[in-house]
Formats: sequence, structure tokens, C-alpha cells
Amino acid sequence: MAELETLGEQLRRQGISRRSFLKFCAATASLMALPPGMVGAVAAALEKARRPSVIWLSFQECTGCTESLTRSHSPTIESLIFGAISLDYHHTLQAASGHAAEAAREQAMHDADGKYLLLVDGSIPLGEGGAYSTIAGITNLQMLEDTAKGAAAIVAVGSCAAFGGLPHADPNPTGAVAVSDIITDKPIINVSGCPPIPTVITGVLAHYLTFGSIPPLDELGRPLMFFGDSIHDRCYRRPFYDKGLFAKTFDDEGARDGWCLYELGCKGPTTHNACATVKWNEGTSFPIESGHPCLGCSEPDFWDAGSFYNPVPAPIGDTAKWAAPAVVAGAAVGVAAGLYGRKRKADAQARREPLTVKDMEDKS
Amino acid sequence: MSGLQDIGVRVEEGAGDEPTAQVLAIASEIEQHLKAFLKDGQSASIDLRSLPLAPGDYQALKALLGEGEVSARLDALGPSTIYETAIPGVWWLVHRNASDELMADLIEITDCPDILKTQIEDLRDGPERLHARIEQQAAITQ
Repeated sequence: MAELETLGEQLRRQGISRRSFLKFCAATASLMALPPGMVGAVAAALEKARRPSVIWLSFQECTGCTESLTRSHSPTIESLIFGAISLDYHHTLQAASGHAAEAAREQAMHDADGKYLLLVDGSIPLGEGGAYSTIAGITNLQMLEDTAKGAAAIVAVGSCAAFGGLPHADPNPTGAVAVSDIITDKPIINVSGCPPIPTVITGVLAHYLTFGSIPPLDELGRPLMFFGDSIHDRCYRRPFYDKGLFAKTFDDEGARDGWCLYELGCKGPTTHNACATVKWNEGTSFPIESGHPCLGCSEPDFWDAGSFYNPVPAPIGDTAKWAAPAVVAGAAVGVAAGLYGRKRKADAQARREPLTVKDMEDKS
Repeated sequence: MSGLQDIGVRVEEGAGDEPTAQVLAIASEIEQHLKAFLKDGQSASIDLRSLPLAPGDYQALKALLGEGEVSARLDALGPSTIYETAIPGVWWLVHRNASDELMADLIEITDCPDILKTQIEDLRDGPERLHARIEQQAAITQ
């Protein structure tokens, strides 16, 4: 059930000092990838924020996105669940099951009609009338359509919900589609990634909690604050790419010296995500830093984009024969892609203003 | 088939002799902020988690900035360490939550970070708290 108390009132009631509140705001601003100068704005907004009701629907998914979210600690998942939001329905995390669980969902939808945040992970299968994935006898398609009606906004968590993901990959036996293929009259935030970085998920939720609005999105509906840069543009191994120092195999001298993984198939140039700066496991590392090329898991159809170990772009056939010119061409493509990405980012930042739900509704 | 231990993995660690390009870039940004602060008192903040740091860069930056005269520990929703670096006006704040996990890692260019100062909302509770403690003491000694 959504509470009527603001977050500021709740914290004061719990005896939390203003200084503690400021620390919480600094952490939240950092989480949302906002410049630290905006902590004051965050504090002012959180002061007045009310706990939104959140319903999480899990469809044709592997639960990896929930696993990722429960690894987030900033704010802690517990404080997120019980403090800042009202998580009214979630298969893995809720205590209720069966009819009681479905009743809780319907109650939340009724109480917060028009105002709840709907989170979806997993794709929606359309084959065989949707019979490939059902919950309590209701197809995913039906449940999504019913629950989306009263939602203020929808967050598609993970590449499956955002773009169809693995189930959508060739030959797509279940007829899997993304949330945005079914719902067209509500604002949708696509938080893609397989899975998304934990703090990227919570950062988007924190933005909605703080400002009550959708953050600025790119042309694929992903929040620019986390998906505005390509991995290539923020990769710490970029100096090696620029100097043409590439690892040729997985345990050669270049690999051990931390050289660029472009020739080993790194999809960094064509992938937008926050892995290179925010990183994984509380900032420990990310695939490239651990020596493995980026898979491009936050992009649509990354499963069907050719081998993970062919350079971008790579011709089919004897790679050894074509590698050198492909790398040169690819390097040019990589640079061009990087420059184009930077221009798009600059344009987006020049136009940057937070979208409100009303803006999205007016546009659609 | 050789074992895992036979793979010659070299872990990149330590600052090496000269600061890397990223560390120098951050140092340059700090210098610009310092000049701006001297000119018109405008504080600035750098969120270290928003920057692509290579292994060893974080330690190199810490070593470069050094430690100054002031260090403080803040206990609010978990521990935070705040200290002035060897460069006056450049403060390093590390905020952790109650489970000691990193929440924010910031470099602030200012004369005193806002979070160190007592907030007016808390100050207003001051007289009441003082009286409550006096009464508490009186009750104990009776």
C-alpha cells in the first residue's frame, strides 16, 4: 500500500538528522549519475517525495535481472523495498504466494490507480496465444495489458523486456516480443543489459522517486544518464586502441599487458552502457578489464549479431586473412561510430531537460 | 593439459613512476576548480565513480593529492571519512552505508564541505536536546 507521508517526514520521524539526509542525497545523486552540484536539488525533491507503489511483473525471464537488483546496495535493497518505495508485488521477493499474491497485486493496482510504477522483466511470448508463459493461469500478454492500464510509467528491466532478449533470438520459437511492442500508450523506460548493472536499475528508480518524472531517454528508450556513452568511448583501454596495440589471442603477451580486445571481438564500439565507468560488483571491474571482450548485451538482437569473437565488423571466412584490413576498416568504423556517438551525446545534452510523464503522454 | 596456476597472469597494480593520463586529467580539472574558487568562491565536486579509472589510477590519484591537516569521521547512516588533502581546498569524501559498502566517492573543492557543517534544521533542535540531557542527568543523580 502506498504511504501518504513524504520521504522527508518519514526520515525525520525516524530521528535521522539533516546531515544524514544530505549524505543519503549525495549517494542518491551519485547513483543517478547526476553531477554532485545537484545534491541540493535532489535533497529538495526527496524532501517532498512520496513512496510510489511499485509492481514488478516477471515474464519469460531467467531471474538474472532480479539477481542483479538484489546485488545493489546503494541504497540497500532492503531500504529500497521497505523505505523508499512500496514494492507491492514481486515473485521472488514477496512473502505471499498463490491467490494471496495475485490479490495483493490487484489491491495495489486499485489503491494506486494511475500512479504506480510498473517494472517488467522477461520477454512476452505471443506464440500459441501466449501459452508459453502463464502465471496463475493468466498469459503474460493478458497480465501486462491489464496491469499497464493503471500504471504511471513502465520500466522494462533487462534486454528481454526492452528488446526481446534471448527468447527473441533466431528462430524465436515462442514468438517473444518486448514490452514496447505490446504497450504503446504509456511511457516506457528501457533499462537494457543482460542483466543491467544493479545500480543502473536502482538509479533509474531513484530518479523516478526523486523527481517523479522520466529521465531523458535515447532513441531506444534507454536513460541517457547511463546509456549515453558507448563502452568504447569510456573504456580505459582506449589508449591501446588508439595506438593500434591489440591482443591477438586470449593469453598472449598483449592480452596480459591489458591491450585492446578489438580483434578478439569486443563489441564496445557499438554498445551503449555504463560498464566502463560504473563497472560491476560495486565498482570492482567489468568484462573488458577482466580480459574478455564486450558482448554488447545492452543492444537489441545482440545474440544474432554474429560471433562474440569476430571483430566489429568482420567478414565471414578466414579471419587471419582478412583481419588486418578488417581491423583498419573497423578502426575507421570504430572512430566514426565514436565520433557520431559523441555528437549525438552533445546534441542530447544541449537539449537536455527532464521529461515529465505529461510530455511523454502528449507526444504519444 | 596445464593447470590454472601455469597461466602467467600479471595483475596491474600500483601507481608506477609517473601519473597516468587519466590522473593528470583529474589533477588538471582540480586545478581549474581551485582557480574558480579563488576567483568567485564557487565550490565544485568531482564524482570519482563517474570516471573511467584504469587499475591503479585511484591509488595513484590518492598518492598524488596526499593528506593534509584535517581529517574527520562522520557517523551518519554508516561511516564516512572526510579529509583535506595536502592541497588546501581539496577535500576527499568517502561515504559508506551501515554495511560498510561504498555509497559515494567525491573530491570537493571548497573551504569546508557542506556536510561537515552543522545543518540549520538540526541546530534548531539544539536547545531542546540540551534541556533533555540536563533533565536526564538530574534524574540519574536523584
